[in-house]
Amino acid sequence: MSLNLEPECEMVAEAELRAALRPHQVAAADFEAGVRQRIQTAEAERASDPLANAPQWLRVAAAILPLPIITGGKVASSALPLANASGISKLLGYVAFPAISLFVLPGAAIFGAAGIRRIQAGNVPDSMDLLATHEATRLWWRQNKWLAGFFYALTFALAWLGATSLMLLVYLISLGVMLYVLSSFAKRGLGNRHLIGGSCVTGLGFLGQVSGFCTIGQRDIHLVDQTLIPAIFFGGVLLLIPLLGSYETIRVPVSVTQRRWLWVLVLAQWLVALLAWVWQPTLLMAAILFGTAVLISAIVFTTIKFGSPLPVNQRGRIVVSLLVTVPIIAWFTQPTWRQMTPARIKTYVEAFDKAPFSSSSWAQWEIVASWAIESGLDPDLSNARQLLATEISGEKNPFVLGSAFRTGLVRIDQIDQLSDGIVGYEAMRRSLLDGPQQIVMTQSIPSLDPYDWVIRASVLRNDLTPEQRDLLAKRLHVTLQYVSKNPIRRLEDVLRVTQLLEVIERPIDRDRYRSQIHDLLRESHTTDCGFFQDSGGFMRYFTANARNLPGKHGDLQATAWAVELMQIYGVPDGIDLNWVRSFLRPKALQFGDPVYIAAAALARLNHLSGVAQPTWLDYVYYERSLIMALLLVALCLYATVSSPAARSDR
Amino acid sequence: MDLSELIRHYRGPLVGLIASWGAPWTDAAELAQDSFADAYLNRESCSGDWTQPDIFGPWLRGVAHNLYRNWARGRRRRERVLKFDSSAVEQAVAATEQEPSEQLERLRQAIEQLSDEHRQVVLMHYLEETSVKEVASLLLLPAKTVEGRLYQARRALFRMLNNEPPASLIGKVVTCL
Repeated sequence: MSLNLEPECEMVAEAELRAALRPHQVAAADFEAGVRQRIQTAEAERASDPLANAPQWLRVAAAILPLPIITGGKVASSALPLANASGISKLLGYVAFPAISLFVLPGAAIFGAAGIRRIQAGNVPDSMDLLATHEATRLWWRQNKWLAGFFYALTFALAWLGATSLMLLVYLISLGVMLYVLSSFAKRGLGNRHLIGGSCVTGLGFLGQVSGFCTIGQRDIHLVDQTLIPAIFFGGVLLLIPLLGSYETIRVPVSVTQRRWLWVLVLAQWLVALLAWVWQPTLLMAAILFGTAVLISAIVFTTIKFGSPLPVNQRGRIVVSLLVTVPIIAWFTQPTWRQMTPARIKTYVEAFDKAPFSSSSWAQWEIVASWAIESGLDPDLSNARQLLATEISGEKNPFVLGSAFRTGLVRIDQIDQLSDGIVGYEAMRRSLLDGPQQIVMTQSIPSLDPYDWVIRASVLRNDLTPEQRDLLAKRLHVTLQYVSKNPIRRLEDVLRVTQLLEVIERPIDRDRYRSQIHDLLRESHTTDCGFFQDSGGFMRYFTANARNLPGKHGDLQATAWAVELMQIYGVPDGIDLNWVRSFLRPKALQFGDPVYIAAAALARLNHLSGVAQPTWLDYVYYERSLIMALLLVALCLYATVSSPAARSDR
Repeated sequence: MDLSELIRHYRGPLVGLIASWGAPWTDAAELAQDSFADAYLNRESCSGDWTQPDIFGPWLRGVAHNLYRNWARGRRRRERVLKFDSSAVEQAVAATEQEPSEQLERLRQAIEQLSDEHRQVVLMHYLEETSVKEVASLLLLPAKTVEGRLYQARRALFRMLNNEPPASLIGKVVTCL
């Protein structure tokens, strides 16, 4: 049916519709007058707006950004309302939001508050600007507190979970966009170095603290220590502070720098840090942080108590920033500038003159000493021999003896001193070999640790006949089978069996066992990280369903044994050695014996035959967080240098 | 065409359009004024010759839509803070303006019950003496489509006022038979 053929009487009349809507009509003259009034007001505002002739995207970004804060109160708000914004222009502002929350606002809040105190106390030419900035900061916080709070929480959460790359990527993009906008403002004479630089100092300081968590980089492969990231951020702070010019950022009144007790406090901090370094390195960080907190509190307290209408001391500012950041940077970069060299490892091995944790200390030392001996470092083991002599004349711990025999410390004449008692050499040797041959050869050695030294001692004394060696070899093969099928398996046992077969001159058929050992290595390798544990190592104890259990993470000694096994049996398919390298990398948050165990195991790993070393592309990929941190700092430096100096600088 | 002429062309349909999005009439008029002002102030950003009605119409609609969205967001915030019942005020204002005609009141209620697209064209076209062309320009639709919708809307209103079932229901019954 055609539209025009429809009878008019079946429709509501147009006149009725107009009458029904008439009450809602607007007066034409009033309407147009209203429009013209709005245009007139906006044009008057535009006349005083430095962004009036700026591109649309910049004006839209200005509508989203806290413009009075960025421009130091020179521009009240954007002339362009958000209503006219296109999606991409708005996106620019939203992308910059995290950086604003983290960099600009805290900086403006902290330094703005300090400025207000100065205005209250004295005569300041920029007081109106400062007040406008302070008021705008307060307003921005009130309007955006939830979103800003969300970004702070997200930053902490990502750093705590070890997803540092993601956190830095978010801030890198956000800061990049924000700085692009800011540099565009700067070209139009808006914004100043004091504000931008101060914001960058605050933001980098915050990121430095957040990325200083010991969980940093826990979940990913990293070839260098991730505490370099906070060091880079604090380094950025250190570089930025002198760039800010004489316009003060960290307020250090002259009276503060003249107070002797404060200098005593600073010296005391350094002394405590030095003592901690010598006495117990684990306490160094706590000492530095405590000292820094005391120092900052003292400065803040002094500033508040005495007001601060005092002239600014540029030198004092730089000195304080050096005192705070240099120790932190030095400590965080320690693995980089104090590299683990063979000479240091040799010194560690030679210095072994006490075993505070008995067999545990011996086991840790043994790993490093074995590598030093195998690498031809030819360490002087006289201290260790002396310690062993004490052990032999005293407790005769079989675990300690095992370590001593494996590192070649025991002389033949010392074995005579180990013959007495039910766990003495003779008794133990008999329990290994005596009995009906047909039965003994089918029995595994129930626990290898107490027998390891006995087998080595009997070889050293040449107490084993060829038949006894064959018998022992069979028992060791049975033990290897048992170990492989045992519900709770240890890589150490597999390594010991392999080594003992070598010692009794019945070397293992590597090809026969390769696949079995590779399976064990694959099973015990984990890329999961426990709480405060790095991923990529090998588990000490592992069961068939270990992966489903919580808290199964890599163990340093087990990883060192695994590397030794890979040296013998080759690297299994499916294990990415970069994970192992990542687990063993030098760390600023690692102290004492583990530092040397990791270094020795890493050196052994890097010298495995046929193993490719990481390429520079691997470094770029795995160290993306580090690169992003560097870029962030570079961006901050660029933004500060490229922004115009504050009025008082000119 | 200058600003005054453009206002004359688009005032009625724009107020109707904003009202059809859900703004009360008084706010719709304010938003329409803001839209004209912003569209004029940023006319350099308009792609094409803004003095041409065909170009200014869609540009005006875009500005109005963004303004309305911001207004709607702000209204939700204000309602949360003040718990303000704006409908009561609207009714009070309308009561003073309304003519005491039962038939027109029924017609207004029927307009409210129309589908969105029918109600939209009715409000835009019949609020003032506006041609279909301006309505079509603001809605980014061909004039024929607008005409069709107006026709359907008027028929639907007729059926509603005469308590007849809607055309869609009749269609379904016929299909079933």
